[in-house]
Amino acid sequence: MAPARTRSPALARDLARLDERLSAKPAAHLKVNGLSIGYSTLRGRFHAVEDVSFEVRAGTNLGLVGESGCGKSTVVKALMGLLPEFTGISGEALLDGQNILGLSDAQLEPIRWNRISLITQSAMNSLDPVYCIGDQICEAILAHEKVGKAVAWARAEEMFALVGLPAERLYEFPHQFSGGMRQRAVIAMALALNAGMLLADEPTTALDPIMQSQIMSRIRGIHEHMRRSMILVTHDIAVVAETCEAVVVMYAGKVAESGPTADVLERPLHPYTMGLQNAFPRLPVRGQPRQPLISIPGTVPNLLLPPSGCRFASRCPFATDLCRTTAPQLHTVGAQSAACHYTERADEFRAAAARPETWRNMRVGA
Amino acid sequence: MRAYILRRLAQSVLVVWAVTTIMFFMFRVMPADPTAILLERGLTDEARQALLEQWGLTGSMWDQYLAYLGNLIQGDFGSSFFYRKPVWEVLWPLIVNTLWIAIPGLLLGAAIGAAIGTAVGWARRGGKLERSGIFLATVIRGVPNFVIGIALLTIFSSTLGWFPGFGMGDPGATTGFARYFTLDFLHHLALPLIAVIIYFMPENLLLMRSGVVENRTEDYIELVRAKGVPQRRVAWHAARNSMLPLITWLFPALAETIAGIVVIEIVFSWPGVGRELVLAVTRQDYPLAQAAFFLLAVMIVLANLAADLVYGKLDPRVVYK
Amino acid sequence: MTQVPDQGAIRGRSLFSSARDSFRLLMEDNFAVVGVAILAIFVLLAIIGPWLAPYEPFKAMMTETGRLNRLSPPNATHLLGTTAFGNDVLSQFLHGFRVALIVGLVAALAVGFISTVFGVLSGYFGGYVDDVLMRLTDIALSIPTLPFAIVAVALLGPSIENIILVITILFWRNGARIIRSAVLTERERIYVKWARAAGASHFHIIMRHILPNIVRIVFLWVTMSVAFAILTEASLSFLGLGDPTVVSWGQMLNTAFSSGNLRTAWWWVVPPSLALVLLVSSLYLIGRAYEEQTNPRLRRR
Repeated sequence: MAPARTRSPALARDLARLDERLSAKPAAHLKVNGLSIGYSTLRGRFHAVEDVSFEVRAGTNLGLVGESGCGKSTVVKALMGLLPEFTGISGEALLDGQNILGLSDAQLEPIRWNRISLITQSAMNSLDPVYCIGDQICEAILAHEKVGKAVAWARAEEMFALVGLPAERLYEFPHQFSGGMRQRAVIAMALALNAGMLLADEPTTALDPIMQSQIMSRIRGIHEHMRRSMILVTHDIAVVAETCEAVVVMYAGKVAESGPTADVLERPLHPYTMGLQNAFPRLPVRGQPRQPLISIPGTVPNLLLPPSGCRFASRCPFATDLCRTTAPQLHTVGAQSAACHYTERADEFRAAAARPETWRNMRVGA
Repeated sequence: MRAYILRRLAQSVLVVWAVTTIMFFMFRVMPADPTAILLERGLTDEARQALLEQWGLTGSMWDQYLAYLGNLIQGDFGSSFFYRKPVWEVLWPLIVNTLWIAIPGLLLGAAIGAAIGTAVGWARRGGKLERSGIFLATVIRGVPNFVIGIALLTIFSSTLGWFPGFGMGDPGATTGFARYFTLDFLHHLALPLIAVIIYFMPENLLLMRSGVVENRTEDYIELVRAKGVPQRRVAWHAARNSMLPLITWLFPALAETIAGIVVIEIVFSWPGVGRELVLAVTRQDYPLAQAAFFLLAVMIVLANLAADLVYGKLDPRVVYK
Repeated sequence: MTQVPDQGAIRGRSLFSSARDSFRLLMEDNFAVVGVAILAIFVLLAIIGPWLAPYEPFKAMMTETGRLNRLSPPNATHLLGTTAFGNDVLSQFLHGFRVALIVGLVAALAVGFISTVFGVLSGYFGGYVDDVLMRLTDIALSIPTLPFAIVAVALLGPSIENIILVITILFWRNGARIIRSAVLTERERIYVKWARAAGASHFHIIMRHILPNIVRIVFLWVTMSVAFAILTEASLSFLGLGDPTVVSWGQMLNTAFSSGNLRTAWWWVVPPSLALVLLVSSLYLIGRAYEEQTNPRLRRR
């Protein structure tokens, strides 16, 4: 074991060089245009993601929000090139101007982790059980940087310090870690090469609430410290409010609404965003009545047979015949845009959506 | 760790004891006249009586069992009728010969099978490599080991004349321990060793392939891919994790595999324990047969023990208690 | 899960229907189809083979000059030539089909039956039966299979019946373990609990819920046992410990080997070798398909 204090001068010098090289990397810019992802299944084509576009400006965080199954994790996997071979992907994802969709594993080798890295959804299963954590972090470093194992290990120690884990635990195996520690180890791994773009795929889903907020504040702290770009995938709109400058709300594989977080949460244009806001607990504001928790009734439509109109129509308390027959275009209002026919009536909807009866009285599945 | 090994050793001793008990029943209870198989024919009455008493065959079944165990513990399996000397003297040199084809054969067979199995498991599902790999491995697995032996013998020894097909050394070759380090010995070793490898490989290949196919869709493989390491390295992670089930599957397979070496020794006239067992049985030399059987059983127990310890080394989650 | 158990789940399904489903799935695997086709030809030859045989298998053939017709290469009268003892190879070969399949099927059925009974009892009821069975198989797994067969057959006497008996003693243990672990999983299924709650008897649960769901594993094990049994009989015969009153392929190879004619008399060596390879491989091809069926993680997604 080599604690930081006893590093040899040569090792310390090499490590300093590596650190310098890595921290010189600029934050990345990502622009996704018209991304569609479909699988062929025995029962027909499954449209997991349809025509999704968004932009992550360098050094900012983007929240990707939606219910489970809305395609948000699929977007992340597509960006990492991790979808199964026979997946149909169209559209483009420009990472600093280079399209990274549809590249082979070999072509992705220099891009992955070096320029775009991933904090996985379930740290429980995403570490190889038969290697110690340190080796798994070093593996990533050694794959991209021409340094010795000792330097890579020293870098891993630094990353562990960054996420608040003691260096000697690098020698331990995943099963010796608690869930929260494993998640921190995965974050340390994702940061190891200081990639310009960080994809965090529901990094706290598997953890208990206290752990969740600890991990999220750690991610925020690191973000402020390192100024990377990040896409944060989550179903928790409150986390987005605290963390991200911009937000994309997805519903059933499509973008429902997007825009600066403050605007979207303050004045949502899409009824789904309004419903989503209701479904998460908020701390009561003194002097105001406590907000009731309202869940959105109904379920996400079957994407094997997507409805012809707006995909949210069957669960939307304001849906009209137009909604059920014609898919809405994106309407831009200021910096925001929403896929709803009635963006001009958003004020009226917001007032209604805050009342639980609005959601309770609708006919589900109509 | 030490306590675990001791406990496993104690377990192994128990299993060996159970096997000897089964042997007792096989050799004493199954035949109609157990004395007939333990005593040579054509003895005088006095000599016969003396031997019966020496072997404890005069008392009740229980006394006989105790006497039998007593002899075993002292390592006394009696004398070979055929060679007219203590069976240990006959068998000792043969153990080394058997191990010479068994250990490298099993290790190489497992290694080669695992390597090809990883490639087949990592190949595209339903692709040419996968389908032909599975088909060939399944067919080769179906080739009886004596057919493997006969084929190797006919092709490489009789027809091409590249390798000798008989025994362990040419007449007049070096004898004693030094022989194992001569080219002549290695030349003779080649064919039986290849036969063991071919015999043992396909099952490893198929098991490894299943393991890799199961592991390749796991989350941790996804993360390794995401790290941008070479594909070879990603496959290695899947392979490394598949070795664990491979080893647990091989436990029951070992008994059959070590047993299969008997046939290969016969085909190549390789002077090992298995061949001696067959010869002893056909010559009705039962003390020798019994000892050879016992030795093969002990080899299996030790192989299981080794597999168990290797498993612990490969899987950090195993805690020795 | 707040799902209400439907009637079908409580009633379970019949052994027959699940066996039929399993066979249908098997036929979707191309390799298994090849295996089944080869096996079908072998079964047919086992039934009619001895009638097709032109001569008695042990009859010594004479040449026109009255001498023993030794090692004659294939010709019009002896399509596969003759052995070193003047026997017609084709006739011996054709008789071999029946021996191989009888040994394989009888032993496999016995192994399948005993493994299933022990596996189900031990997996379903657990407790004392299970402990005893597991200790027993632990010991049995350390017994070298072929050496045990060699010694036991030599002591009991080399007859087909004894060979089948020894094979059964040897191979039930692995099957019992595999079936036991499958039963352990099935026992914990939710519909078994519903069925118990609905007052179904143990017998009913075993017959309608457990067995139909492990039928593939039983089939897999029976298929593999046929292969093991054929291989063991062939090995014993090859070592000269087979039943001397019947002709089997292993024995033909033994005769060719011990009379030192392996190299020259290819017509004597190739047919039994090839038949054994085809038969055992076809069984493994079928077994492999069952393996892919029983392991959902191997299925293609």
